[in-house]
Amino acid sequence: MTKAVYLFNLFLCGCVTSSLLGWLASLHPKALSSVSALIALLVVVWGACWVLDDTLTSRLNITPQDWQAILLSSLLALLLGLGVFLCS
Amino acid sequence: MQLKLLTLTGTALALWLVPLYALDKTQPVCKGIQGASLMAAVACAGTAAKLAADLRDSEAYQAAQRQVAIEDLQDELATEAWVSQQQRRLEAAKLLHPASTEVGGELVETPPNLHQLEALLHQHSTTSPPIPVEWEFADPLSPPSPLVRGVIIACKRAGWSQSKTISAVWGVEKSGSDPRYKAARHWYLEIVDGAANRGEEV
Repeated sequence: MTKAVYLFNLFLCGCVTSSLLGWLASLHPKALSSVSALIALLVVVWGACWVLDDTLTSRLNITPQDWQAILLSSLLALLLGLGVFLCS
Repeated sequence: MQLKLLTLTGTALALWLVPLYALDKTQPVCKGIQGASLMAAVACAGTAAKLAADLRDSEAYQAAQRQVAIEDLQDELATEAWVSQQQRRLEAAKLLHPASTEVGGELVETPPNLHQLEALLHQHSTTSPPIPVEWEFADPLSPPSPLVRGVIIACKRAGWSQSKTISAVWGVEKSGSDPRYKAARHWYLEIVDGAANRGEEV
C-alpha cells in the first residue's frame, strides 16, 4: 500500500511538472521555443535510455523490467501532463 | 501518517487540475494563479512521495525486527525442549541403573569403594581360618594339588596377603633369591589370576 502511494506520487509529480512546462511555454513565444527544445532533448535522452538499457541497468543495479517500467511511465506522465494543460 | 499522505496526494491532484480547468488562461491574474498552483502541486506531490518512502522503510525495518524476535523465541523454545528431553532421559536412566552416576552428562557405573572391598574380604575371615588344622606344607617346586588351590583361594578371600599365604601354605618366607619362594609365588599368582579370570570371587 505504502509503495503504491509512493509510486503514484512520483507519477503525479511527473504529470504536474510537464503541465508546468506547458504553462511556462504558454507565457511567451521565446519560452515556447525554450520549452520545446527542452522537451526535444528529453525525448532524445529517453530514446538513448532504451538503446543503452543494458549498460544503465548494470550501473544503476536495477532489473531491465523495472528500467522499462520507469521509461514508459515517464513518457506517460509527460504526455498526460501536456495533454491536461492543452485540453484545459 | 497515512492520513497526512493521502491529504498531500489529494491536495496535489486538486492543485493540478482545478486551476487549469476553472480559471481563464487569457487573464494574466488567472495565469499567475495557475502557475503558482502548479508549483504548489509539484511541491505537495514531492513531499508525499518522500513521506511514503520514509514510511515504507520504517515498515520494512519493523517487519525485520518482528521476524528476528520470532526467530529468537523459536530458538529459545527449541533449546528448552531439548534440555528438558535430556533431563528426562537422564532421570529414566537413573531409575533403570541406580548405581550409576552422572559424569560429564553421561551415566557411568559407580566404582566400588575400597573400604567396601576390604569389608567384603574380611567377612570370611571371621568365620573359620582358611588353613586347615594340622596342615602340612606343600612342595613349592611341584604343581599345587586341588586342596592347595582351595586353601590359597580361601586365604585370598580371608584377606591374607601374598607373603602370608605363601608362608602358611608352602612354609617359605619372603626372599628375593630363594628359588622355592619364586616358585611358590608363581603358583600363587597363577591360582589367584586364574580364579579371577573364571569370574570366581577372590
